[in-house]
Amino acid sequence: MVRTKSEFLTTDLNQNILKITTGMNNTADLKQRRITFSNKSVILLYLDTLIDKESIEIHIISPLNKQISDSVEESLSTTQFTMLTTLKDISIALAKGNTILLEENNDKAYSIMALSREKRAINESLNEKVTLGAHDGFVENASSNISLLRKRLGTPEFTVEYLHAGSLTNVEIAVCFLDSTVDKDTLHMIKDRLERLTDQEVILSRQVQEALEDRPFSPFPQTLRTERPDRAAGHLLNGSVVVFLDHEPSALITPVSFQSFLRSPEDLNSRWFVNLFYYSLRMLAFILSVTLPAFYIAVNAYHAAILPVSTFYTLKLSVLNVPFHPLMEAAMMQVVLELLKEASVRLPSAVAQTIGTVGAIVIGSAIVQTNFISNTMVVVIAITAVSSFVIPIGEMSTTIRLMSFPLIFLAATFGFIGIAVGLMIYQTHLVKLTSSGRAYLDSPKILRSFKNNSTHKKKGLGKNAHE
Amino acid sequence: MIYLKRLLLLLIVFPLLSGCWDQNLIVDQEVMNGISFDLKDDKVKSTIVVLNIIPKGSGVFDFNNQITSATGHSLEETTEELRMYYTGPLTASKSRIVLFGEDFAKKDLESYLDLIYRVPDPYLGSKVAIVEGVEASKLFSLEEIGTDPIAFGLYEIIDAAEKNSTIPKGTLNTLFTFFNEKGKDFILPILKQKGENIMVSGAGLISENAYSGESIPLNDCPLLLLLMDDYGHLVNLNSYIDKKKKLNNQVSYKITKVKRKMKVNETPHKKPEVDLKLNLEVSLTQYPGTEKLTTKRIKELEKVITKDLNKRSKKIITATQKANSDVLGIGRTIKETDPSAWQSYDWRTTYPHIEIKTAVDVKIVNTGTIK
Repeated sequence: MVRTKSEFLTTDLNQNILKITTGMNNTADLKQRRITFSNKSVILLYLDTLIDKESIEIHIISPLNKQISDSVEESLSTTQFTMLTTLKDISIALAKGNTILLEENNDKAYSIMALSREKRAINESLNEKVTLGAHDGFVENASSNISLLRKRLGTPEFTVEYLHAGSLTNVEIAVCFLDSTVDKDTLHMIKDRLERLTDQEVILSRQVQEALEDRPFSPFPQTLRTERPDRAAGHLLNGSVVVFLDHEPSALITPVSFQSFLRSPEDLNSRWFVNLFYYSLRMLAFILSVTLPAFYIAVNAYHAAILPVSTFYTLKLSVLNVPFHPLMEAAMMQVVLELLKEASVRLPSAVAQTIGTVGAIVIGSAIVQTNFISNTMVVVIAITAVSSFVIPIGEMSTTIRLMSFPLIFLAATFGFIGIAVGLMIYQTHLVKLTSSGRAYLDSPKILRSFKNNSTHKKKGLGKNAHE
Repeated sequence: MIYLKRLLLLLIVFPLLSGCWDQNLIVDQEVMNGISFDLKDDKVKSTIVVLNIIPKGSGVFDFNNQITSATGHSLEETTEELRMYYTGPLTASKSRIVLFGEDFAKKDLESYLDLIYRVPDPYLGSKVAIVEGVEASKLFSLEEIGTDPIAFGLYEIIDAAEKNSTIPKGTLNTLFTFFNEKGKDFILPILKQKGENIMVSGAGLISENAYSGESIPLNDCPLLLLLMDDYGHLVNLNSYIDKKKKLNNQVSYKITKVKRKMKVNETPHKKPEVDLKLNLEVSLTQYPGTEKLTTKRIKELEKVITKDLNKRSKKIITATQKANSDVLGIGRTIKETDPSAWQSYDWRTTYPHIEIKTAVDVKIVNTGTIK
């Protein structure tokens, strides 16, 4: 490839073919087809593994065979094509799944799109299910994903910009924004950061995410990775930027605030008090899953005096024959929980159910009966786990569950003071954190957000005819 | 990054250095539920009861009380000995009841109980009572009251008595506030053992933070609480219809509304006079007659009850003055309204001789569900 960088096509057809095939390292799936058009030899070059043969037949070969006109360009008028002149462009086009048409005595090549249409149908996202609202989800194709957004935002304001990253992966990164709502400085910064990616080999969304984040070392995700178009469209309206990486079924939203992670599109689709209730529930779940195990350990090990007497004896009864320190208990139970969760994720869904049964009955009750872990600790860890699963975005859910570990250690060594210090550190970090330059904890007009129509009815307007 | 490294280092080093020295696991704790103090040969005898839970599998459990006593010249001296009897660190943070033997109660409680308030461990919500007749520690040897462990049972007994307006609500904490307030004395419940059972037998009058030895009998207690304006959920009283104390001759009534007015009048000869007016609205709960209650009969009953209550309240006031126990808080009222006058009194010597006029007025507003 490096040899042919600046080389141009010549008028010699055979020479051109030879150069192209060597340029493609004589790969075995590079196929040629020779047809005659206006008494001239025409060669079609394509990668057998990428293209759709039927499409070549219908859109290239049959128009050429009909001999409507003497020029190739006019014959191909129903198909989309581009003209290429350098060998480098041609090999890139081939690798992207285009068909190259070379003509005798012509130093230009035609690159025709004939990519095979093998892609997943648009289905509901498995990770972000809702009961109310749209059931479409992003697929592994950036242009399909952008079309899902365009359908929701039918405006010329909706702008897409493409970047290409990696010399080997050569993957497309699409930056979408609404021109009127987006902050120009933020947009500039995001594009700047993405441009730094262009000489890296990008395969995973995480790589893009890392490039976009202000603090990649923070445990908190600063870009929201969603599989739901309605969520992405909502954030676009609020001035955020949506980034797609081709071949990844998710959108990266930035800047984003912490409270967005606690919200599901379903909430916004509900009445205001339902919305408020579920938001509060998730807030509670967040607090519980971070602090509950630590709180329990601190009470158990240091501050039993704060317990009412009946609770005290209930607790004492449950921990009486357990040989381990509560810290050990919590660590063991958390590990068991993570193991069960991991096992059920990796297994096929039919077998995963078995894991659920084994986890619930065998480990859950047997571990208590054998006095390895106290009943209360099982309850505490179960509540913690369930609370963390309530968080709609998987990334944040895991983060929150893991955030409880440092607090557990602090609680076991320093009691409530440890928890207080730990929470202070978390708080300071969150307050300092920014997402694409915007404060992470920033949630303007949070109360008004529970009502869906932000415009208030003015007096005399919108009244019904009877009045 | 440097900060992170330092933080990690600290997190590792601190637990290693400190070794969780102040850790106090629930499993290890020996929790005393009941505490009693007696005087014996010029020494304090402390008795504590620790409740041990014995799990019998799948949520079933049994309990037993471990009772130990120690004698010494101070509470802390006895506690030191008591600690030696138990398998774990002893804590009073879940104590339910603190009992005083009669002799101990007659000492200055404030100075004796100093330990309880100085360290943060004891539970200030514990109920407090005086035991009459036997040594306070004897009550613990009953082990159980009904199905409750002894300390819990005693707590419930006193709690029920508070709800029935036999004694005012009180805990170690309220005791402490009374210790620090001159001009108001308080009442402690008196417990008596009758066979296998324990009952609240009256309200002991405290004078100058020590039990005076005088007590108000059980059936007058609600009236005393009404006079003190410190009654509970339910206030029930009985009066004899005519003067004869004979079988089934009592009218009973529940107080539904109370209006109390206390006025302290200055007199020139350095003795305040107190006017205490009590307006009660009552609802009949028992009437031994079989005839329908006419308006005229109700008026008559009102007169009978009023007369009876006036007589009894006079008796109660005389008793408090005899015990030199200012439970009505007259001293406090004077202190609040006229500090200079308060300064000039020696309240302990003044109180038994001041004139307290009580006037109870009763109105029957309801005859229950039947006429």
